[in-house]
Amino acid sequence: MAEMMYREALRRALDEEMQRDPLVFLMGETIAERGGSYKVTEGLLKKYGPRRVIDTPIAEASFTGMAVGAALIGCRPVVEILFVDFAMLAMDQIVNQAAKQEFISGGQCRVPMVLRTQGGAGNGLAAQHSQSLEAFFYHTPGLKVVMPSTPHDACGLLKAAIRDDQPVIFIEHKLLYMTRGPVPEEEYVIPLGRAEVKKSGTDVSLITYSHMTLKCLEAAAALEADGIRAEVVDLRTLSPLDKETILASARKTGRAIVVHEAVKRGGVGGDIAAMLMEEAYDELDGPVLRIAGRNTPIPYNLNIEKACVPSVEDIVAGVLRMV
Amino acid sequence: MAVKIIMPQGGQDITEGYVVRWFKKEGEPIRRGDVICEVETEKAVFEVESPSDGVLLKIVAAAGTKVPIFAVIGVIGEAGEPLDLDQLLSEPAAAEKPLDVSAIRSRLPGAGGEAGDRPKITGRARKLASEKGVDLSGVTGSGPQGRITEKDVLIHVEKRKLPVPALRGQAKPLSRMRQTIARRMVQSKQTIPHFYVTVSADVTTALALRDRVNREQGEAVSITDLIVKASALALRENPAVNCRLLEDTIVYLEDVNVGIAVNLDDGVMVPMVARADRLALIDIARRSRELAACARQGKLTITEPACFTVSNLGMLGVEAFTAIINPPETGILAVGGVQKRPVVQDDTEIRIRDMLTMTLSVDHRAVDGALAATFISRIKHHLENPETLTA
Amino acid sequence: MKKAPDKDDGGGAGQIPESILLGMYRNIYATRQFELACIEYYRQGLIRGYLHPYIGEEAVAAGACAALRPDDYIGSTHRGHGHCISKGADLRLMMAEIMGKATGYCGGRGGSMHISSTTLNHLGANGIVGGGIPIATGAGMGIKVRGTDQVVAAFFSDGASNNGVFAESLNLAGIYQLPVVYLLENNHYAVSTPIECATGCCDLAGRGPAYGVPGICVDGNDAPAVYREMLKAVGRARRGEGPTLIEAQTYRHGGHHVNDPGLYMDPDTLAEWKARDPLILMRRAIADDRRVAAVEARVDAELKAAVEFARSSPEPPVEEFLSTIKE
Repeated sequence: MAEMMYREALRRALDEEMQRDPLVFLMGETIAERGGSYKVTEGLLKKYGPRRVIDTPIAEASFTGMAVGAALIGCRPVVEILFVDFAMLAMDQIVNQAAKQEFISGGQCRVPMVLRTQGGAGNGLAAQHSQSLEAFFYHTPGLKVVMPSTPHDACGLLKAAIRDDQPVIFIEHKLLYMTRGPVPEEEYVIPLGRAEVKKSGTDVSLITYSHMTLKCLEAAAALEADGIRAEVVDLRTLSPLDKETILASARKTGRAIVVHEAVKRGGVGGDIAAMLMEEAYDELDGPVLRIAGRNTPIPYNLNIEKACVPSVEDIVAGVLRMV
Repeated sequence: MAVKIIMPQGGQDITEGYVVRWFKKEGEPIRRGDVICEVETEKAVFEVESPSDGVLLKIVAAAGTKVPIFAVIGVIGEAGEPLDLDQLLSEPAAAEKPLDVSAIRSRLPGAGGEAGDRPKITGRARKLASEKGVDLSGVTGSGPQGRITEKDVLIHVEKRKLPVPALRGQAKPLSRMRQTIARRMVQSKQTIPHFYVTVSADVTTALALRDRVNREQGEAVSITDLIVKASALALRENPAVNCRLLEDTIVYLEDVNVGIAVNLDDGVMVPMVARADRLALIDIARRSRELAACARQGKLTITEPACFTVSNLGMLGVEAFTAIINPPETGILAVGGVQKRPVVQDDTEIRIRDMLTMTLSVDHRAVDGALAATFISRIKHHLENPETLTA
Repeated sequence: MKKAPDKDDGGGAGQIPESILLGMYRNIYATRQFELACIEYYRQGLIRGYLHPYIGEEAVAAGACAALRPDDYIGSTHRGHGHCISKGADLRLMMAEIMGKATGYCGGRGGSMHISSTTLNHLGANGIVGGGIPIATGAGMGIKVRGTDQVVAAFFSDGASNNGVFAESLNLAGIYQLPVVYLLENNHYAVSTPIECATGCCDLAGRGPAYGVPGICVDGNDAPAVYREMLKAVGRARRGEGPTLIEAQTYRHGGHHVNDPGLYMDPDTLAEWKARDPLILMRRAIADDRRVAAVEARVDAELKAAVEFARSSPEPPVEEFLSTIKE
């Protein structure tokens, strides 16, 4: 096992897949010469050349659309949108084009592209650089949505995403890039659509993903010391949702809390809570709670920014209300 | 005035930096804007400029050391200025407080809330209850808003099992009558302030009268019947005892109705002889036999209020006892068995007489000691002068 | 309705009133000092998040805003401190906002990238590259609809000029003859991508005529030159003669943001541009050291007061903020 940073794990995945398949190429702002704003693509221009590692102008709608076009004719583009907030400029190409081409062509073509982007609050980057917008993509049929929380998951899942024949929205979290974790030396791929129980427990299920996974683990450790055994289920892939793992956990503990950074209203958590209610009503020992972002844009000031997203204390308090 | 030089912020995720080299030595004069050292973070190398004029008093972080962002790396001040390094360096660092789960728990709003009409039950608890055959109406909910959870059902199931220590024997749930007796006796003892007055009556003559009546009339008048009549007369003579207490009001009853405790197989019932003061002894005897038969068949109906009961355990060998008032009555007379005792008569003679001990229990809220004493003395009088019973 | 353009609305060539020259110098100097202060406070942790200094580009905002009336509007970018200061901002409220205090222009909610002021008719800095262009264009539409005579100056960068919304906005302004002056600040870099790599044709002013909009190129470090072109363009717009695209050539003195050391910038080119520092050029244009020193002294005092105000201002209280949220 090696230990590496989340961003290094992502780079490893890109490197391995570009090595393996000459039709994999990268596009994005400042990813080539500068190696990316978060250094994920550092060194790749040198290794693979400017034909496959491409700096784009600031033109999200167009270069996302370009990825759709390249994918349609058989390439596997990995396009980077620097902030998920900017993906809003490309929503037509993502939702109306990438997500639908396979369907509307009656299956004649595929769109095997990956859109890599990043989101999340915590750095005082204010309203247009701090959002969690996965719900928009989760809601769109034809898109897969992946949100890894550890370097291990980031590498394995990105490889799977690149090999997948459907468009994958791969959302990283800005606070995770420099986190470290163990990664196997030998090559590995993590299949999409499989959640992982990051910590086993019996008293309550914390169903979560991305950066909130780390906060849930912290909360679970504190609760353990207090005699409450929380189980942390890291979804890893949001769409397709691993219902079996979620249901198994909820049935075991009888109590489920969905934790995500994105705004509660209209968030993925509501969908999961409804699913649990529909399919596990008689096994639930209380209503499913959601601990999620407040209904507000993210402010600049650090203190009020912090109040907008769930804290470890919020998660602990949520568990204590249930058990 | 000492001015701190700190490791500058170099990017959002940067948490520490290196001091690469110092361009000035300790003690060297500095002007505002001079580049005094070079630091490196993950992103880039930065030159650090002096924020003020003065002298480089102290290099805190030497070249090559790694320090957290915003940590003090040097101090600038006036030449010769005294330096309290400890004070300068002891920044109340935003120390990561360990998570205090109990503090969080105590800050939670009360889980309370009205339970409401319909008890709330989780799906899981309901399923378990139905598997275990638990009647949910008997389960207390400990969840939010009194919701019954799985845990509550499990606790209930545990409680249902026979208690420890294991008793060898046969368990029988209480019958309706026993439950009623249990409830009313507890209520009586908890709410009525009982006090007791005891007399012994010489019933030799009364028994002789009884025997004669039985012989002549072919009836079966019992000692209890004699006492019922005697009590009825005493109640008429002391109407203040023939009462019922209702909250703050004492109701003095017009009729003298006397209850008789009837022993049954698994309990006791108290039929009442209405207007016993006006009934002849023989009629009381008949009535009481009827009522006892009804009681044994479970066909009793109470129609009018009584305030007094006679309870006789003499036939079972009891000498004396005290009884519990039958709520909502005011008094009860506990009658022991007839015993031949040596008694002093006419101050000089000792004779063997038939003696009977009676204990009156009375509600002190309605009846005081003197009244009770007077009352029971009249019962004794009537028993010792039995011609009054047949008058 | 099209009229023949007037020759030179701002007086004869070179004859710019002294008050305007001093005003532009004040704004260039104030912006320079403000940005340097921000960088210093950023390093100390008093400013967090992103900071995009306008150092080196000050003359574009100073020159352009000198040609605007107070009731004219401006649209701005993520690199917006210069626009805000030149539009007449209160330095205290700016510094407080950038430090995230409750007394800032936006109550601490916006920060450097989202600074705005309705009293200044400042439509807002914007964190999305190109995000402000359609907004400024729309303000122009609103002015037409209500029939008044304000003008909008839309600031944006060469990076934004390669974004779809630029093409669409310019086209719309051309069709509707909107009173918008498009101020393209060509500082030759889109983040770290040099302009030669971001477009096949570096003549950005030439994009205007493709949409029926006159395109002018100007030396963005020469504030008086910017002012003169701006005055002409503002005159056209106010007379209902439609939009203009002004490409102002300039250069950043540092990287894209405060944590970018700009290692990709060619040192020789940078040295050339620094030799033509707008501050130096403006000083030369005034040629009156005493007046310049007086302006600088006033700005220094103003900035000092602004910093004190900002540092001593309270942060927005968390409970109060939370109470404004309706779930």
